[in-house]
Amino acid sequence: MDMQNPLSDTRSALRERVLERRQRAAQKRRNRFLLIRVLSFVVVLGAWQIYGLNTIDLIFSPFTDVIAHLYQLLVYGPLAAAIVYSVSMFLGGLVIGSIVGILLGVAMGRFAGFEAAVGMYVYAIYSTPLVALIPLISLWFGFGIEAQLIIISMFVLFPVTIAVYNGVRNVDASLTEVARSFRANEMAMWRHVIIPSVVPYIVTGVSQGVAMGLVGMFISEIYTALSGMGQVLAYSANSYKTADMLAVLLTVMVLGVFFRAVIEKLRKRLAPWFNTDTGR
Amino acid sequence: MTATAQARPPKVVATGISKWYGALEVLHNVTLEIHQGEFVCLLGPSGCGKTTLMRTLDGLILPDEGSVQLDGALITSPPRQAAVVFQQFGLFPWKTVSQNVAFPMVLDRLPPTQIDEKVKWAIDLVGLKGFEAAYPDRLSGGMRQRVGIARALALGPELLLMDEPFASVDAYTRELLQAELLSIWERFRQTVVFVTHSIDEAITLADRIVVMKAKPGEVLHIYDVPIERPRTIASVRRHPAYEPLRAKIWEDMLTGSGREM
Repeated sequence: MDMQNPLSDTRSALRERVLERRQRAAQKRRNRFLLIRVLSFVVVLGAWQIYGLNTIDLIFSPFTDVIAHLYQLLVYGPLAAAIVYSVSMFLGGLVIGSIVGILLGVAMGRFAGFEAAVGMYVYAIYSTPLVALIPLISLWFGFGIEAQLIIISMFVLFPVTIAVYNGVRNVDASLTEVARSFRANEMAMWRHVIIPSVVPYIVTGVSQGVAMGLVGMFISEIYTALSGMGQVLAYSANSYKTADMLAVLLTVMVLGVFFRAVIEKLRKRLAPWFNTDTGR
Repeated sequence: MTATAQARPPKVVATGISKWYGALEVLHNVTLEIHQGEFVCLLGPSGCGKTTLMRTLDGLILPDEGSVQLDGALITSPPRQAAVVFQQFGLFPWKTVSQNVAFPMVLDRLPPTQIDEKVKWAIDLVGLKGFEAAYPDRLSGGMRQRVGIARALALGPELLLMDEPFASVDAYTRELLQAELLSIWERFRQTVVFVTHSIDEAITLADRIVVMKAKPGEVLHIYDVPIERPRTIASVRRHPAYEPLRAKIWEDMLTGSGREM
């Protein structure tokens, strides 16, 4: 083996140089993409501004007006309180929906009997437009916080369940065999094989849950008791305050992007081995 | 079999093993004795059941008929004395090189200081010093299998089971790994069962070659390899017994795969 050490040294040096060059190329590519993004941003906002300036206020507002209205709504209007209310409802629903979804998905994926018993209902409800269930939920749970939380969690629940179920089903059978050959018991199997393989799927599911949860948030606020950001949106729509409406929509977009970025950060912490560029 | 090997007690005894997958009989009445400290290659065309046989030796698969004994005890699940090296490496992508090597010892609840010591020893042994914190997807195929070998050796197994461990790496790396395995094994002399479909690899490594045939999987012939140790790849190729043995096994393999010469 001593004979091979100089050889492996030159090989690792070579590998390092290749890696370095690859990193520089990647940096270059990132810079170019950043430039494209900035340019696209300028073009879209410019178009928005020009179209807004040449259209009556009722139909559309220039970007600068929307920002001014956003400031007004935040500082003097109801928007700040509405955001606090809506975001806390959303986070509550996200947590409940994610926990139930993870448990349901794991149980369905790992225990065939459980899947046989409840799988069909999960798919049936998943295929139903959830909005259609709202009258029923209101009938059972009223129009308050409880009903809103249930609606938001239902929107979050299904994407999480399906993703986690797929994750558990896709645990690499050759890896469970490796663990078995080293005498892993069921607990060790969960800790070392199943849970780590499912983590990236959980993150993907929750990330989709964020998008669906924001939908659920607005729907619950508009279809049950008018409240939160849904209320601000509905009022500005009813009184034809288009700039206010656009300000609310802009806020939701920013929230959505923000929460997805948080989830992506979390993924890098929880699953550093999982590289989205290569899918592994 | 050499006289000394025969004098030692049998380490592994497989008696009358048969295994069906549905209507397909993959192993038919296989009987095999492997002695303490012996390097045995299971050789045969694909579909001859050599991997299935190896897995029954580890208790990963239970035979439909017959039994496997290790040190006189019946095997029904993976035994403590054995460790497997897998064809597709079987590394956990979420564990670093060190964590992968440590994994079986963590399962065995060894004290952490002892685990660290053995991990370091095994990683040095396979020449992966400096890669302890790397994740497997950053390693080449050859390096990944070194991790697989380190993981098995760190356990200090009495029986090392290797399932076509070098089939997934390029030809050059393959010979490099064969040479390293030779030098490692000639130091420690564990009992090894090594599955391969390469005649050269079998002659290079083995004391005894079990040639199998397909449909159903059966033992066709068992050959002693009369090449003294320590061996190198070059010393094996130069040996006068090499070519005749190779030709004989090649003929066997043709018969075994159901084709005529």
